[in-house]
Amino acid sequence: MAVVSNPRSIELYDIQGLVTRGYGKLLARLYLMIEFTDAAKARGWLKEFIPHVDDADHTTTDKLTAHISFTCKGLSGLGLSDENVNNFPIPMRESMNTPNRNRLLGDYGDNDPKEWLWGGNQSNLHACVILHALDKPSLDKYAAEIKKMMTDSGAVNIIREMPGFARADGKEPFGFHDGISQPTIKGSGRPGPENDIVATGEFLLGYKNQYELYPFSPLITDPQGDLNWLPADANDSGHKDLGRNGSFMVFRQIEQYVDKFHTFMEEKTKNPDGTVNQEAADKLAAKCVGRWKSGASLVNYPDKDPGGLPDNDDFGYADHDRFGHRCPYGSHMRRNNPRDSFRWYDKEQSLKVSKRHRIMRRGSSYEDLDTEGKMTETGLHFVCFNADFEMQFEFIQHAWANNRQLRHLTNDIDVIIGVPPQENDGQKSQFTIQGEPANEFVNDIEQFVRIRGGEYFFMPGLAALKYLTTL
Amino acid sequence: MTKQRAVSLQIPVIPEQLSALTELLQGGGNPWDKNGFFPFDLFTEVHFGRWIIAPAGTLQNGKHIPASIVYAANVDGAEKAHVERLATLAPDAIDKIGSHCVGYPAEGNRNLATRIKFLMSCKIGTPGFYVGAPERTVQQIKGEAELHTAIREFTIKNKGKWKTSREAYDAVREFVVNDPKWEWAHAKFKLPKVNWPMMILFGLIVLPLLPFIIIMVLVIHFGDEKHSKPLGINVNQVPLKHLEKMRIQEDIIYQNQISQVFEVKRGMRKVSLHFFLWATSWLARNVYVRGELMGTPTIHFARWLIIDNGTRYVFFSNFDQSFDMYLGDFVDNSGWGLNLVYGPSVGYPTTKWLVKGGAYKIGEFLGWGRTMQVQSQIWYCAYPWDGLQQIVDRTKLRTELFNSGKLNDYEIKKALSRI
Repeated sequence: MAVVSNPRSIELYDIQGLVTRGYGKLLARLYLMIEFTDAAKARGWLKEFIPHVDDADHTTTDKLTAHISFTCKGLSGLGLSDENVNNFPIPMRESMNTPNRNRLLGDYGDNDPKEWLWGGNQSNLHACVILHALDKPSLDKYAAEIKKMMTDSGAVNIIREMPGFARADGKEPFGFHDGISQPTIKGSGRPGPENDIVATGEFLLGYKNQYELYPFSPLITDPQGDLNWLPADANDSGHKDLGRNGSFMVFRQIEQYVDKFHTFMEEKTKNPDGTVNQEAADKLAAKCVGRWKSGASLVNYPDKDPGGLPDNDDFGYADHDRFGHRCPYGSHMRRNNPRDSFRWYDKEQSLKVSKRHRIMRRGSSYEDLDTEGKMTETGLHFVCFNADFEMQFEFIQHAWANNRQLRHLTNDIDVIIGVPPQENDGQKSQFTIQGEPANEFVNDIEQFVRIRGGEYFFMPGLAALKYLTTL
Repeated sequence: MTKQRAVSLQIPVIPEQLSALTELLQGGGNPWDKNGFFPFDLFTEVHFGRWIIAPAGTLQNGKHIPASIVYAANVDGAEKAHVERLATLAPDAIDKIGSHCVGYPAEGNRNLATRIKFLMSCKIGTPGFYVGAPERTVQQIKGEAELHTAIREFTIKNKGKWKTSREAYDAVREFVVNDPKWEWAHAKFKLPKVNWPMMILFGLIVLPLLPFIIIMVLVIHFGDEKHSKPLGINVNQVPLKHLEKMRIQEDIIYQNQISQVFEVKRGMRKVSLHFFLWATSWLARNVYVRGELMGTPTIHFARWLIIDNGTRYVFFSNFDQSFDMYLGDFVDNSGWGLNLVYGPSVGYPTTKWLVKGGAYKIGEFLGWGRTMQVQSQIWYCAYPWDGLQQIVDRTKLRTELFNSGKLNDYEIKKALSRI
């Protein structure tokens, strides 16, 4: 399967850059959770802030970027009417934290939103500003400028600051190369493997999705503000579309228990004399993740990590690993992006189904340090974009990551991000390694991550941002 | 071989008693609330069961339809035997429900015979019925689950002992043979297969009907569908209050359930409903017998009942995973099939040539589906934590150990992969 061209056909100049660009070289990041205390003044601040927002035109190379997304409460806080706010999808309106959604996402037990540090329908969480810079000093300088604008506005309070970073080697806290398998947005102008080019409308509103339909988009049915900024609804409803060139953003702060993860892998693979077998421990961890630490695919390199730079992401399971002997069915990677081997369908049907449940990941690592500079917590600021929370992010977490009975599995959840069912009498999950002569099982899987906060946001297009300043 | 049969009852409700009955049924029980008053656990023949209220409604022609209770159970054995067991094993629960219903025996006149007579008088047909794991009894499904667990534990204990797949297979077989507990598993069980003679018969029946089917398609496409009014709301526009009532029952155990009540369109659409339900049932009995319905492998059962003198129909199903996954999966695999069976319902997204459009407008389809959904006040499943494919796999493993003659190396590997 070759990398194919993907001619530019979407309005990149109107799309916030983070949706289509990973900014892999901008290693220092900062997430500012803010509240608006006065609608008119907050709109004034937004007007000033918009020139900082980077667009998706990847022919430009910025060293400092800013992006902004809003909760429904934030849109109300800017003055969008209740009727217009109610035109947003239900998950946005309800927030990430509802009883049903908690069950779907596994937000109970250690992940209980009652224990979250932020989000989960927090009343004063109105928007998330995301800053990227080449390094920490330049980020600090840029952040000071942005924060001053907020303070000067007299209407924008920072309620939480969350620093993040990317490592130059691309590794996340468990030590695995992250962010390799990403979809390519059709029409973005970026070439990609044929099977990874996904319809624009899976990530951006106002374009057709994999069903050949326009995704549900927030319309302005209660006219307010300068509607000239907004395009007409592509579905010909006669209303203006606030969503076009925007995307829905998921943000979850995921603490990673790094020591616990590695100790577990070592314990489960010890030599008969009780000593640690590092090679076996690394292999088990790789089987759980679905890739080697270098990022190399288990399908292409089943026995040993080749090291070096990550291998081409251009592979399928159907032809080379139908029975999961190389990359287990239950591994994090395979279950969350089954590619051409979803269930037993033919490759074409599998890809069709898989492409309807993709997300664009844009996260960063984080480390919390105490006053002496000692790390107290590490993890991932998981950020992803999709056009349909329920069919994409929630589907992946619920139907794939938390699914104990995917394919032939009987009690296996995603070792990395899965959560065992609440009503299951505390029965622990297992991890099945398909193989010959018989499958092997790793029992008593622990939880290696904990959700510390999260919320659903809307990241508007640039014209829509300007519209919001006119309310 | 025991067939899983459908028992369906529709019982008219005394209008003044509706709210009391609704309140009563809310405490009837479900797979995570074992303290409900209806003792489904006593009925060892029941795979799935539910009591729901089909709400009162006004048809498009202005006619009022009163509320009623619909009871549905998938049972091993004869329908009448199950109805008799209902009256025998759960007379108090039946009285509790029946006392709110039209025609139920008066207090002094309640005995086994009168209860059975009443229930039998409420029996209705089941024109559409699909079973995900057919021809297995409740006992067999539970037994095969235990056997599978035992084999897995045996495999874990013997990790690294076997050099070849055949060696592993022989050891597993010996383990099962040597334990008298699993003697029942040696008995011959024939996995359901596509019934080709019946399919040929199906073709012979349908072929002469082709002219009628073509006329039906033309009349519906150029007539009925032009005048039909789709509900036209996206799933994101379903009232939150209604949605919350449905979601409160969902995603708690592995299996989920759905109950929906629809008004039947009139004219040729009504005819098409009867035809396609008949065809679905036929295909379900003879083709879709291996754990998937039109490519969707997560449906434990699906049942369509025509109620209220043909003016409404209901759909019941138990499935693995969430509402969105279930219906999304179905659309991915066979939206055309959904269009044939649900196209006759009032408010369904407009179809083209019966099979196109409709469910493929997925946001609108899910919006329609949620709106038509009603609460399943009491529902039961004998194996609520089991996925359909796991049930199917366990039977296959058992038959591969005992009923399949000498397996070749590939077949052995396949069998072992099920552990």
